[in-house]
Amino acid sequence: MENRVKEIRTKLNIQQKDLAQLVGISRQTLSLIEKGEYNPSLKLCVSLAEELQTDLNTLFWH
Amino acid sequence: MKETFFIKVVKWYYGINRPFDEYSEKVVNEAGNKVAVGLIAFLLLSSCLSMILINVLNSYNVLTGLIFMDLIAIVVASGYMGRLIKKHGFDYYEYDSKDERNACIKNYIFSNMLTLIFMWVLLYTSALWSNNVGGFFFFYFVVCNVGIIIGMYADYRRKFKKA
Repeated sequence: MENRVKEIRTKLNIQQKDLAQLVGISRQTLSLIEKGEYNPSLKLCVSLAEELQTDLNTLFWH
Repeated sequence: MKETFFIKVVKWYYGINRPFDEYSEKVVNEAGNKVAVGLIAFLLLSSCLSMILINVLNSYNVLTGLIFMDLIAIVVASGYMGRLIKKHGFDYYEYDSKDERNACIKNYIFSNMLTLIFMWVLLYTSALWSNNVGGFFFFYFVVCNVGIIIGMYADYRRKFKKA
């Protein structure tokens, strides 16, 4: 599933490792999400949207 | 994610050195289900076969064969899980500083010590079963331990080699 996680993360100048730690996942899992190779659970999607100060629609549907 | 004691045991057993998040849990659960189905099928088959063979062969030989087949099944299942863990890179440590690297190395040594103790128990019980706790067992014990330690050191070099 394509998303804008990497785009918004880099815009906010947050390191991959830091964002992964904030949402409670490994850096490897976050990398897979950013590449669209893993579809996160709704709970994880909400956590990512909160940390990236955006909403689910902007992050995952565009 | 707070890790329970059970998750820590699962991580130690499978050699997972990353946070046990939803992705690793999904991969491990899927593989675990395949292994469980395979082992259940194997246990059913081996039990039926043992019940048939015990009427034809010596019961001690049937028991010996059953023990070996069970150990082979454990090796195959563990090998499959180990290959999967390596394929997804779950066994690699992540560290950015020298302190984090040292903490990972301590964790690595502790988990390998537990594995070594587990192997010693397995070796000793197999020697007791074969009534062979003597000179040959000591030689076999030393050779196995040297092999295990060499393997652990090679693994340590692979995981912690400095860039």
